[in-house]
Amino acid sequence: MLISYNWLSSYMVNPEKMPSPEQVADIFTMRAFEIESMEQKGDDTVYDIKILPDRSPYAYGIRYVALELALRVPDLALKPVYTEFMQTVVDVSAIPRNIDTLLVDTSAQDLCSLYTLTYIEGIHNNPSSAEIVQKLAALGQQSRGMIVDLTNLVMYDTGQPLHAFDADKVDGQIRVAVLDVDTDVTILGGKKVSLKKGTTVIRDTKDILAIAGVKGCVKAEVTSETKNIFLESASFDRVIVRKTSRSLDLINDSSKRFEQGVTVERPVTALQTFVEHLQELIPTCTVHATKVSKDIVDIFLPEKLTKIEINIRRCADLVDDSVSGMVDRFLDFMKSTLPKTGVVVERTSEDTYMITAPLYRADMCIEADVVNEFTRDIGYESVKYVPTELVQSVTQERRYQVLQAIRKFLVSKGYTEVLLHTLIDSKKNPDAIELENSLTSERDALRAELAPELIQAVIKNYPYLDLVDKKAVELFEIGVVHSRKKLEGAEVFGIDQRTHLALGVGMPKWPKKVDESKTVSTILKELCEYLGVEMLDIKNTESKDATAKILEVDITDIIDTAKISHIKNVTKTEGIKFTYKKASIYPSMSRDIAFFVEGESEEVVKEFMNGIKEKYHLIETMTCFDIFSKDGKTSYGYRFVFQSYEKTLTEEEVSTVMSSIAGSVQSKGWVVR
Amino acid sequence: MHPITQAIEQLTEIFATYGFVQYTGPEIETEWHNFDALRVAKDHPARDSQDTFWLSPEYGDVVKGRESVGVQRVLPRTHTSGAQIRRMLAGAEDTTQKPPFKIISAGKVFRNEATDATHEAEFFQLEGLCVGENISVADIKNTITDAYKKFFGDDIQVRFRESFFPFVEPGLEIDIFWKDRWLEVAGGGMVHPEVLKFGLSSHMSEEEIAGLSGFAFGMGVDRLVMLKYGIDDIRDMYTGDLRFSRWF
Repeated sequence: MLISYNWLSSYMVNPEKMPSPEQVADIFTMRAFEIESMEQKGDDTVYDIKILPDRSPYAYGIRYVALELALRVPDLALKPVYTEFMQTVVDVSAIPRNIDTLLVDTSAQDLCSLYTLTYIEGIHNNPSSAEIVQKLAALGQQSRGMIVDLTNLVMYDTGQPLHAFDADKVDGQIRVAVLDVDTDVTILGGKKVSLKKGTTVIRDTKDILAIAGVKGCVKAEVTSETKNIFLESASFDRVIVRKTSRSLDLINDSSKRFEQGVTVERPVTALQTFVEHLQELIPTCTVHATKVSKDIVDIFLPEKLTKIEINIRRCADLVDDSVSGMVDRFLDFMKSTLPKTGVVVERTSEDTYMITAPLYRADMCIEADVVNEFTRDIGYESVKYVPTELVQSVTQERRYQVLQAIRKFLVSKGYTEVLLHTLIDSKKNPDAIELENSLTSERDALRAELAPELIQAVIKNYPYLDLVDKKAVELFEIGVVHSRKKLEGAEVFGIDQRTHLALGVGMPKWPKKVDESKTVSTILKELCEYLGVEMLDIKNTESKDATAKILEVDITDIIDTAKISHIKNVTKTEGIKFTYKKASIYPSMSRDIAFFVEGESEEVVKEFMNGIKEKYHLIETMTCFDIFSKDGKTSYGYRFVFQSYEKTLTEEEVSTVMSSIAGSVQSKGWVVR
Repeated sequence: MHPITQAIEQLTEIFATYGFVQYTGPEIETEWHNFDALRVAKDHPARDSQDTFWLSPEYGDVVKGRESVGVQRVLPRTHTSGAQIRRMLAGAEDTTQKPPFKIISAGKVFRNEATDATHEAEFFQLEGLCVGENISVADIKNTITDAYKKFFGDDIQVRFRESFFPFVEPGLEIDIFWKDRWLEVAGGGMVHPEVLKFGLSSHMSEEEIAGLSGFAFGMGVDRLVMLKYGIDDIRDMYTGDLRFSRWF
């Protein structure tokens, strides 16, 4: 929601006490709302604040945001005219009303808990003053004449959307109704929209005047000719407004506010505010009886207000039970801060108080809500930090221990762990359980096995073997897979969630003789021995070209049976300090160099070669693959993998670097072989 | 090991020093555990199909420890928070599992959103729950501050600010100061009294529950890993590409 610094200042008795725009942003961030953006606009600062659901029933009105600010700044105070509206009981006797005219269809009662309509005679919709035009412009709104502007101003101020109908264009009686047939209407701005049967609308005896809570229609549009209006101030159901505005793609300031839920007293607050402003702007206008959907006095009966019992010790302990003085701070908050928000505080015994929440604070329901008011009043920074007490040892969950043991065993065998997608393509995996809804058809089902995705991962890695200095791609994944199962005593199926392990090995070209000790089945056999469990049932899968081989096992049951007491928990790598480099999208090329060195230590050679690697940025990796000594000379073999982050390297570019490296090596007096 | 598994391991060991143990929840969760028991309103947009994946109504599950809520619809969980409820309900079948307890729960979660450099439809979360007597806001502040000091380094600055999640009250957001700015890395707060009731009232009296309090938190593991190593595209973590893995 957009709010402006100058708007906020205008609510204060003493605007000179306003903190700087940056400080205002800080206060909101820490105590109330997130600041999505902050922008200087002329002599004003405009904030886009994110209001979370608990505060949205009130904070969509800027006066309540101003109150949030005033509470957090010493000496800053709201003008009394605003604080009066925040009192627990709203004085409804102040509004003229005529409860004889019921304007809401019985069928529409659930859709609109309160509907008021006020007839105002003798107005005009002349251009607004420069001050009003500017205020609206700060929030990105265009001026549309005095009446329309005033409905918008009051909406931003109170959070209650209002709508004005040109009274002379209305045929017969106005009512809230549910459409019984699909109907096309022209909305303000001239766009035609098709309303579905079931949409909640405001209508007269002939036509549709507005889509409830969303948008007015042209039929009773207020124009420069308008002389008399019906002013609507109502509580439309939040879900209905959300659904209608989404389905019609008409999300606006009005629908957004209704969607958050407008509190019961708000239509009255807004109506009173509108009438007061209007009488200042056009003193000659006549405000007639307000027509309401039911006796609104009923809603405001004191016994219907939320009362919360507060135990001050329990509240203080919930914040911090280890420091003294928290009870006094909490008590001080109850006595001096809470009443400023319209909360009535009464002491009932030594440690207990009864508070009555004002109507606009629909979020205040239980003791913990009041504790939240306290924590954000004092700020979390004032809760004292004390280092946590350490415990000697804990018995860790078996599943966690067994899976970590398996991972570490496989890593020690040279395998790399991967995490692949659970959401897969149902077309390629006909047995997979399909999701009811999915954004993309490539990921619309739950995997039933790990192998299909792992095969792809193995094959994709063939071009990078040089880069990682490996002969074969060796990957594993531990993950949950899903299938359908019978659910006892129920008419629906259950989901069988099993934990699988898949090992994948692949080489673009397999050697004639395969090293038995490195096959996936040997690795699995060793793993089972390590965990002291019987060999598991294996499911083997191969890629079409037979270069990638996958072995998959269900390890769900061995979580309970594996012997892990002998396995020492090898502690993790301590906070690794390096910055990861994103892989280049261009292909790599590898080259070897070998040379003889006489009379220099291995350290010196390695340091020199590290210098070489640093010097040429095209070298992605460098590995020393061979060292042997003969007749007092030592031979070194190095492999360089060249790769650019900007382009595909040419044969020539790589050769140039290689000759340059050879030159450097020779200049040391070492003999390139 | 994959950097996400490594991060989960590091966090598990860090939290173990404060007495937290792992507790694994299912990836496919019931609507009751994932939403109702966490006070996510029936009409809350989070339940909409544009945010949540659903399985067809031909699938379902019962709620162990709270069979009275009937057979529930199931979904790929949108957060690990359902594990909070499962852990509390565990006391219904095994009295040794009653509070006090401290758990963390790590695992995959799912959101129906378009993928880009910072969004994945599936990613990892780490949940925490501590329930006992006299658990306070100070306890969550101390625990999380210490955990991040261990994970990111002693000089990391951690701050707590006002926020909202339906299953906690007060609710707070946890930021770290990272490369010249504050970044949101976790959410948490004091367990909402109604959530304690959802989890414990099947096997504990109202008075017993009233004597308890707790804190809960949740963090995106992917985000922590991306920050720590300077990874700028979340999708890189789920490709199985050795050019990615070689760094870890």
